[in-house]
Amino acid sequence: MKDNKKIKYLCISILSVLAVIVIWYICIDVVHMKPETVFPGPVKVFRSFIDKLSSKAPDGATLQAHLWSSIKVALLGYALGAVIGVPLGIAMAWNKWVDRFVRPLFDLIRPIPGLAWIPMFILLFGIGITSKALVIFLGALIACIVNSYTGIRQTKETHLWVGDVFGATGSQKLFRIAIPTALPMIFTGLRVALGTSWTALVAAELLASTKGLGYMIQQARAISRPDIIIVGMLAIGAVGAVFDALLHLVEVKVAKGMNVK
Amino acid sequence: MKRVMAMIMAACMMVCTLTACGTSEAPAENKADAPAEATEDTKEDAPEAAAEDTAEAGTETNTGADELTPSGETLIVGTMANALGLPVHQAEKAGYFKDAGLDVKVEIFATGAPINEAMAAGELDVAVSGMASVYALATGMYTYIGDGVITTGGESIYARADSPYAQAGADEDGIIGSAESLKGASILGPLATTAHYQAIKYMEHFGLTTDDFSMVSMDYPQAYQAFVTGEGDLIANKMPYTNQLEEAGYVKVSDMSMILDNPIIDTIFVQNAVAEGRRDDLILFLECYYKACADLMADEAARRETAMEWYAEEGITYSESDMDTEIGVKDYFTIDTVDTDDNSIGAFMTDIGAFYVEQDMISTGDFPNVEASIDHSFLEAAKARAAK
Amino acid sequence: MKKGVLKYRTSDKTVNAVCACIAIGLFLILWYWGTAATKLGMMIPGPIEVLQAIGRGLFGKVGRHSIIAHVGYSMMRVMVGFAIGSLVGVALGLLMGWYGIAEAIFNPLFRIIRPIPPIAWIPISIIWFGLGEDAKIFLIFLAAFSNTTLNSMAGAKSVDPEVINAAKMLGASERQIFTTIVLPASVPSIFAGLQVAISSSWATVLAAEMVRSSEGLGWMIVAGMNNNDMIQILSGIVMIGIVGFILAIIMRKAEEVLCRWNKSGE
Repeated sequence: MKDNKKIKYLCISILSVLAVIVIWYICIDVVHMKPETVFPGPVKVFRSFIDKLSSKAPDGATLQAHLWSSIKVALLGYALGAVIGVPLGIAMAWNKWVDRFVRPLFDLIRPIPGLAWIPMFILLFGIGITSKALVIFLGALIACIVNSYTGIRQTKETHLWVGDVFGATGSQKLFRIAIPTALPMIFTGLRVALGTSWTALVAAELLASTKGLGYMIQQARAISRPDIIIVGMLAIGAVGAVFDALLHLVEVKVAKGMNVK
Repeated sequence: MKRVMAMIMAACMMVCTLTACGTSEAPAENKADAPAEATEDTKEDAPEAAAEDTAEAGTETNTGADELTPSGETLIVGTMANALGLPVHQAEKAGYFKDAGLDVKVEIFATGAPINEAMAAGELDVAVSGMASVYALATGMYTYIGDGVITTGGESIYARADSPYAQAGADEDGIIGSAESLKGASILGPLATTAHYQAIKYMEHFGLTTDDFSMVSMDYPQAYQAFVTGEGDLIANKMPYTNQLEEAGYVKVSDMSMILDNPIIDTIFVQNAVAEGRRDDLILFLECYYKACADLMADEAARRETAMEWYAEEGITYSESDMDTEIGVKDYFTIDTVDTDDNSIGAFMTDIGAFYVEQDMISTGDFPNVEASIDHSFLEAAKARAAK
Repeated sequence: MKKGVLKYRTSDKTVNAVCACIAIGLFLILWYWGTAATKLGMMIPGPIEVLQAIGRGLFGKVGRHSIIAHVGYSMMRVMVGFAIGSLVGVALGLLMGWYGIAEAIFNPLFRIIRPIPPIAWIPISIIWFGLGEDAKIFLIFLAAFSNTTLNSMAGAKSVDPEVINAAKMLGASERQIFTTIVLPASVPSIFAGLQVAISSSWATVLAAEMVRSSEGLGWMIVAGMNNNDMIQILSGIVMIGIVGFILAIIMRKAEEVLCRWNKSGE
């Protein structure tokens, strides 16, 4: 019964994607709302996608090479953000002095887009992978801090009282009570952070790159090849969706039994 | 009390969102579903525009060569705030457009790539642009009607004095470098521009291909700044940065004039529909443009003053010495010198297009579009009128 | 229910303010020292120069307008984009969270579109909307839309099934359940989404103003980049930070007032 419903929904999902592609096809290839050279239809995009898998033209690398280069940068920035962000978020939520000093700076830096830092990073760290990873790091850091912070803050007072009654030390209360409570939120943070890392990619690759999906899009813009731009966008979208799904699986496994949605 | 506050807040937010919706209903509607809906509203415009065009074409092409009637519609021109766009600015400032009865609106862009995008989006009628035009022309959607500024120098590749590239010594062409040292080098500069073109040509000179070096994608100013702070091996750049690099003691290893037999020639191209439907406007536009060019060529002091004032207005830092170099390396055609037998318009575009076909950046199938886009008739008409 | 132990009392507010000032002060001193004492100062302007530039530009002129006017231009774009984006996002999110069919239809598309950053949309948005305000608003809309959708969906999904069953047993219609149970229960989650959305909308202003513009804070930074004018870039960055901070505070206050019964904590 339930399986039936699942299959039905799956079919609807596939149909809806197909419907969009068909509408796209009709708009461009049948009705010619925009010329192919301005906004290519799905057939042309698909053909460019297949070409790009083996061809290095016009930007000097195949789609896989770009993808791999992007994943490397994104994961490096993400790892940095997670390693620093999660403990910092926990510290901010647990110790009000840390909160008091870090929070104002955090709140001010938070709204500044990664893109804006690029000129600064070039001056400070050069044009290597460090600068690119840092642009991504900033995005990941924020998501990790916010979610870890919120997670720890959800610890119930009564639970801590119980800890007090049994004579738990401060660190025991943190590690045995608060952090386990916060775990689902922390994981959500890690998942969201991976999403933002991936999204920050194109910005990072605006900075002096020679490869990567962002670079590919940029290059395609420069030489008026909208089909490759769309291939790049869809690649980013698809990989992002896969990342999200993977981490969601991990999240469900790790935080089993806790209130994960 | 609480409830009242909440009510007020809610009311405020409602008003806010409602007014917001009111001001921009159009984009709101076609957002939810990606490509499908967004293209829908263009459907209605398209036939209308086409109808207008044909109607105009009918009435206007009948008028004789000497009597031109401006359509009265706004002619939107996209260009850049540098030597390339200067004649357009000069023509506007001197009131030539107004005198000719043209309603010209100038839009300024930082580089050629966004001009191409704006042309593709149908936001511009005319582009006065640079080498990036070749990619636009390859789409077959545009008509090439005239040549722009002539650049004979100022586009160069620089290396640090103590680098192996700079110490390799110059060959008979004056190009400095060696195949061994250049293998694996990184060159900073924007992609798909004259800088990129020169970098490839420079490496080719030493028998190296695009696989042997990396072009690090950076805009001209960022590339300059990064190079000065010690990044990259070489830099391909243009005015005014090449001037600043020269002054700072970096070594010029290559210059466009050493690599290319002919000068770089910038472009004037228009939408096909505009070329067909608004012929008279375009002939008048070319007249104004070349008249402004003649002004600039005739009076160097005035050119300097106009340029410096305009660049400053557009927020571009340019020193007197940058301007000296610019006057030295950038010349303009006039109505008499443009499109002559040895200097046919668009020749540079076909050359460079052929080169990019080799580089796989333009497909062989699209390349014939570049040559087919060139249309001499506009300049012929303008020249005929000038001769009278 | 989530009234945590770790909440401060009101008297702590002064301590907080003092600490905030000290922290920002320390940061400025570090910045000052970094530019004054090391060779970084050759390339990066110190805080004094930047603050002076902001002071001068606030009512003076940076480019064609004063900084206040630039903030105004950017704010207008962000507000319109945010308003449309969050309306569509909340509606779609609730729909997807509550009706399985809606989720089946929109989720796959949404999942693919969500990771695509606004900057990557720039070329397409120019083709669709031209170079005017519409393209900029579209980019901001995207930023606001994806966050609110995700949170509203999560909110609608997290409704306690027991409550729904109880309502069903009492004879409530689907529609009644949606309007009287699901909608109110999703409000905290929606607000959390709005918080994130306002931040990311504001952060997208730079990308949006990379589409040919001649005003706005994003323009200040883009123009600064085109000129290697670090002072102008940093002025833009500082202003984006400050305005973003104020926006976040306003949203937080709005949330506190409107959903006293359930704070989302952030």
